[in-house]
Amino acid sequence: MTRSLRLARQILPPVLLVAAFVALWQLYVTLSGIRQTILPGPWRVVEALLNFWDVISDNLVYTLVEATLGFSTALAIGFAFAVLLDYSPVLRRAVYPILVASQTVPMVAIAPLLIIWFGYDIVPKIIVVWLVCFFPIVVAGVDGFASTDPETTRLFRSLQATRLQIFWKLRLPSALPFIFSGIRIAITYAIGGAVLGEYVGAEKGLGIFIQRSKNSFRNDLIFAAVLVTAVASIALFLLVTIVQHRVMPWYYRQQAGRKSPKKK
Amino acid sequence: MHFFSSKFDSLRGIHFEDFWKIYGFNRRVSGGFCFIQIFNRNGSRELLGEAVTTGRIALEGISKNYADLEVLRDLNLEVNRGEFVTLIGPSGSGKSTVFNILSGLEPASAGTVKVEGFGNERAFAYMPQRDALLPWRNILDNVILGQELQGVARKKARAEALSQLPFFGLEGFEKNYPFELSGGMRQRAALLRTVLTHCPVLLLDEPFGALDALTRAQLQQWLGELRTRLNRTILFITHDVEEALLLSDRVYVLSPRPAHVVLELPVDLDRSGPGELVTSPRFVELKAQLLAALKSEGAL
Repeated sequence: MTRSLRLARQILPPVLLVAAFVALWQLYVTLSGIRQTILPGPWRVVEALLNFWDVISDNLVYTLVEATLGFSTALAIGFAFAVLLDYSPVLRRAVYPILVASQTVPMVAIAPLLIIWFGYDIVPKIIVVWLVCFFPIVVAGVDGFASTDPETTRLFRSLQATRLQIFWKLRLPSALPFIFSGIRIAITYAIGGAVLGEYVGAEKGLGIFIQRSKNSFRNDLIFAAVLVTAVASIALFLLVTIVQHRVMPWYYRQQAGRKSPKKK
Repeated sequence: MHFFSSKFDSLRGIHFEDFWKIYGFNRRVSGGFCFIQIFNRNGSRELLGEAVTTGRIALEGISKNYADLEVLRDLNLEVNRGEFVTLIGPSGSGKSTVFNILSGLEPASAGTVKVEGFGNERAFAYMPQRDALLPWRNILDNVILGQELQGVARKKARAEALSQLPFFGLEGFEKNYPFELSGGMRQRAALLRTVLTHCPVLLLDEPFGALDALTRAQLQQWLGELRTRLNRTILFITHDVEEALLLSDRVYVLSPRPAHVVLELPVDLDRSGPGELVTSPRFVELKAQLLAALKSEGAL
């Protein structure tokens, strides 16, 4: 199978599904005669997006900056945390339940508090993004390190590898597929988290744009902002996937090898 | 290695690779020493002399307990430098524990391990049951792992590994990842990784256990050739009686847990002789002895 054909087979099904959904939506709006202020059709949404692109793109940049900053700090601190928890089983037992419990606290309850504590500027948004991204990265990291093959670890020890060598040459590469899964989950939450942080109070960003649109009954603009949020999230997701391909070529070759019969 | 004959003065300065082309080797174990007979390859097969390797490993009264579980009880065994010694016994009888103790992964609860005549170098290289190759490294970078962890420059280690690939049947596969290789090739790669540690003693824990019968037979024969070439001491674990007899100079039969030595059997087979080894009367006789020992311990 050629490369382009394989790509087409991957991309075509979701594209067709989305196209069908959009067509049904438009059909419903046109046939039912529902007021476009209640449910705007997809065409109306695209129109709104184009008309307001200046404002929306301006807000998007803001949201993207918050999301990226929050995600990067979550990645750095989350990774360091995972290493720490992997190093100390006592710490892992102590911290892990707190981590899980922290995820049950609804973000809509925390976000307003953060505004009260840190004000209306960028900091509380970064914290919200940090909070939603941190957990998947830490959990993936801890599980990834724990997935290291014990027999290979014994081999390294019999070769008198130092703890550092075992970490860099064995535990980290073993954990990478897990860590990247965590990163992919985190990055899809990142923009949503930033929007949520803005929604409860901000000067700029897609979240506050959505709230203002709601207040002025511009449902078409809400949909336009949602569309932009989704596209930006997918773009970031793809970016991570590309990075993963660069970092772990062996992993994808292995996956591909499992699907198709061996050549040699 | 101490050479007995002055003919070998001329050997100094010969490149290692050429050494194997010019001379043939045969092994003879006698009186606790392992002799290596060296002869000309060029037709005459004139015996040039014998070299003897000194040095031994001795486990004396080794016991090992994990909490309430007694794994080894007063285990005594001895391996002379250059010998191929096999431990055979029922599953879970603690054979792998012996390897763990030797390679320093865990201490013995009682008894002493004596390692004499191996200098100050690290003596043991351990090869686990499964190949334990790293999926993110190609074959070349997998086999240099031991040296890399010792701090040898990668470039130097790779060059040496490349020169060994042909004999291990891995030539042209150095850039392949482990999952792209067959089970037999992966085991050979794992063995090359063990050999390249340059440790004088190889601990091979059921290296062919997971392979199909045909591949297994091929690798047994290949390992037989390899061991004369390598001049290393090999300690081998297997469940397979025939495998033990095909490869070893001596076999220890271990009892079920707590393991101790039931039988020590020198394997005096003429491997260079004509005919099929496994059907020779002596082979059948030795096999019967091993099976009887295993049976008496309830292992069969």
